[in-house]
Amino acid sequence: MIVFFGIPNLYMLFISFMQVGGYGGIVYHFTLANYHLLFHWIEFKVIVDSLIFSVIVTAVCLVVAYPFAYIIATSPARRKLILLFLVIVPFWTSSLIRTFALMFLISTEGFINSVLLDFHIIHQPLNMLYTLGATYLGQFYSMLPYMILPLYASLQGVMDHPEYMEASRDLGAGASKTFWRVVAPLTIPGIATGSLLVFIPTLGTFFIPLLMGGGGVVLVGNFIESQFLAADNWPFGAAASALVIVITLLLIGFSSRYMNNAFLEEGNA
Amino acid sequence: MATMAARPRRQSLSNLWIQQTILILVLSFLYVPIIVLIIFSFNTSYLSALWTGFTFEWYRVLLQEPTLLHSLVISVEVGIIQTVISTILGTLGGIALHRYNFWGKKALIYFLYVPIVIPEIVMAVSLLIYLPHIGVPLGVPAMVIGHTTFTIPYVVLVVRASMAGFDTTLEEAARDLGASELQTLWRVTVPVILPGIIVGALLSFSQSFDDFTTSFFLDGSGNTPLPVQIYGMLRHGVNPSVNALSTVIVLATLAIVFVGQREQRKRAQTL
Amino acid sequence: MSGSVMIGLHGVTKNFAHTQVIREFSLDIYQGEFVTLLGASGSGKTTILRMIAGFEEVSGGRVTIDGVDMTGLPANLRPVNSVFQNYALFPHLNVYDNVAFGLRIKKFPEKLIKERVRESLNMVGLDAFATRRIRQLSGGQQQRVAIARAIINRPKVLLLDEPLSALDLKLRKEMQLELKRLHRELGITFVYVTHDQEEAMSMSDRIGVLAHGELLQYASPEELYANPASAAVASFVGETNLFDGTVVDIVKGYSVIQTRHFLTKAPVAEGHAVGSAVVLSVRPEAIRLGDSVGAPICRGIIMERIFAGSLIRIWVRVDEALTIQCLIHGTRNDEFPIGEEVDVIWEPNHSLAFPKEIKSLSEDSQLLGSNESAGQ
Repeated sequence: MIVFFGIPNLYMLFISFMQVGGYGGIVYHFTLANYHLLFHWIEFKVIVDSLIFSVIVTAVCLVVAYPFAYIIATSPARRKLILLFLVIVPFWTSSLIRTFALMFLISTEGFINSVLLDFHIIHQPLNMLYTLGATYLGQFYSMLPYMILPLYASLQGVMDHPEYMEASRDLGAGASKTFWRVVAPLTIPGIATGSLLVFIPTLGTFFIPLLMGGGGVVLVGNFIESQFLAADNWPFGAAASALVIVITLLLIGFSSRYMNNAFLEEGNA
Repeated sequence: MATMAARPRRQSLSNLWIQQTILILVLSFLYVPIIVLIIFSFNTSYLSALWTGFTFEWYRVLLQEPTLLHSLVISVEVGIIQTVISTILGTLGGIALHRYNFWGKKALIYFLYVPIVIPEIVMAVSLLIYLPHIGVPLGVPAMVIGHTTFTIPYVVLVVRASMAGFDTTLEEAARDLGASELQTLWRVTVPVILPGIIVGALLSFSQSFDDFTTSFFLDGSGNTPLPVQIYGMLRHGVNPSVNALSTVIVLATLAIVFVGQREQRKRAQTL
Repeated sequence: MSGSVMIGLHGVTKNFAHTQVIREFSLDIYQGEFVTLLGASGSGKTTILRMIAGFEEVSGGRVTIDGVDMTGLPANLRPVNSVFQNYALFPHLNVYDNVAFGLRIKKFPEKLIKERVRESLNMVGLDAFATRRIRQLSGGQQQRVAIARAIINRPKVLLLDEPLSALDLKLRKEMQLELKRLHRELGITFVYVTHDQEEAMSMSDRIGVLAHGELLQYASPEELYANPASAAVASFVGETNLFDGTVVDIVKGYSVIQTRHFLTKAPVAEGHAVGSAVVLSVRPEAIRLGDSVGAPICRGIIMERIFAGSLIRIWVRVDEALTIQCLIHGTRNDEFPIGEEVDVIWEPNHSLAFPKEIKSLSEDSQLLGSNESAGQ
């Protein structure tokens, strides 16, 4: 059964590797030539930009989400349930709509500008939307719940064993040493999972830069989209997709090994 | 952070204060945009983002918009069909993955989660190339398949989690009492993990209903689902009926999450 | 022990991966018998039960039920039903539907099902609980539902895998009586698995003692206690003191045995010859302390005494390598104070000497914990 619906996936991946060749646009010929060459020229900057973008978004998510997840994990049961629910709702809410909500807030005629103008705090609307900063904000906003939930799960696992922290205190570690040497290492699987869940979609993001960056920001996702829908250069787009897949799989391979090790250690402890 | 780590139960006052601040900041960051959006869907003014009065006008506009209704029908249609497919296959897959050990099982599990972890756009364009090639037309069929690829893993994930809490001697008991393998599956395994399956189905539907990226590439012409329709409206500028439409979708999501959470808690109680 | 063979195990073996957990296991169980498979965890008793039920396939040999070869037959087609250790009641069904499950599978008419469920619940005294949810029941009640569910199919054999292990002591005693009553009333064969020798002794017609996937002895409780086939059985069925020794002479039906600490006699048994290594077994209750009848076998210091109802349990230390456990009928509280030096005496006829088997030596000593004194 599994294999039955697994096969299409394999095919799809496979095909996206294979669809590299013919220049006619829609038609495909199986030529594995010259796509990487094209890449090096125009693509390299887009790829690097996307990677930098993803790293920064992931890092900011981690820094903001960790304390928040920590607070949830240490909350009393009832409050924990409510807080979790409050994180899960945006997690499942369409990120397109959440992006739009943000646009509505910061656009030139948006809520913030209207209020500020109305109270005569500013006289010219602030230009917040359609900037790189807005793109960062939009991506961060969209991804934050994806970081919070795995971190919470991991932290909760640690909190279920207060003896770890008690033992650390007992052995003479201060508060901050206990955190850095006991709690943080035990949550590495959560950090790895959360980072993966943020980094990978961010690498492939395309409508957030379009809507929040207003076309001025071009990331890999936008490049792929334009190759497929605007430029009609499918092989080129497929090549970029293949590269994204390779990066993704490398990341997964790297971090899953890491996660497993961390899990094993946790199991043995 | 560090001081909190050491004393999970006895927290000093300043710590508590820091905690409250973080809570409020993050939660308002997550919610203020959505709440503002919802409030202004009832605003009378078409242009201004300042409150001018309460109205249902934009919801009325929505209802009169035939393209939007058509989009809604498309979204629901795709959502339901793919939910049925992904729930059945995902449930069987989740049970099989839990029960049997076979060669390459680990690889298959990784493989199954590929659609979740690969950027959606990559998956979408590969389907855009592949599906017409094997004769699946763009539009509803392509979207059903496209959505199924990333919703099945969620169902499998939830069902596997349910199976982990499932006592397999129940299946032996059923076999012992004369049930065949199929009868055991249908009369014992599925009913016991049903809450998990329902949660999986709800997640599956909401993922499909909210999906933009995959639909954007696979919808063909004349089959625009709601999120793609909204995207089109956004590109032409913000207006209150988009607010209204978004509000409807957010509330629908909220309802689904709420039901799902309740089911999950029910499951926690029965086991 | 009359009647026909209900369950036959013929040279059954079972391998998991590369380890053989059951070796050449043969055993007959007669129709209507209450047979217990007794052994420590890992002895293979549950595996045997699961092979009878059909949850595990035999790797070699044959299982027959009522004369029919069960090889290849799945659990649902075998005329046996099981009571599981954790009850395995279906959480999504109430008491009635749990009990009715087997008949519904067989597509019996609802009217008949109703009758049979009532009858079944009646037998276990739960008629008033039909509409209860499973998690509203206590452990003992769940146990009864599990039994009612298993007997409703009117199996030829009821298999019980440590069914009482999750209950507290008082409830366990109650359920033991209950199971005996059910066994009598139903008249079907019970195969019971436990690691609790008291439970086995008090309930069974016959007990099969298992260790390391092998049948050590298969006999009635009385026979097992009086005539254990080996030191391992002696130590597993009831308590015993074991001493390593060598036969130095055979005189008038007795073997003279030299151990590290004393010289004594025991009735000659199979495998005894001058020079052969033996394990001497003396039950604690066979030992007397400090009286003048007969010659003392050794002397020791009372290390510990525990009052146990009508009996006093006393540990006598001979030297650092040997402590002997005794069970004395309590007389006065000031008798046998700790620290007193006493003579240790037993009748040669109350001791048994088993030939020491080189092969099972290490295994047995593992089973017993120590090869010189049990029950420490």
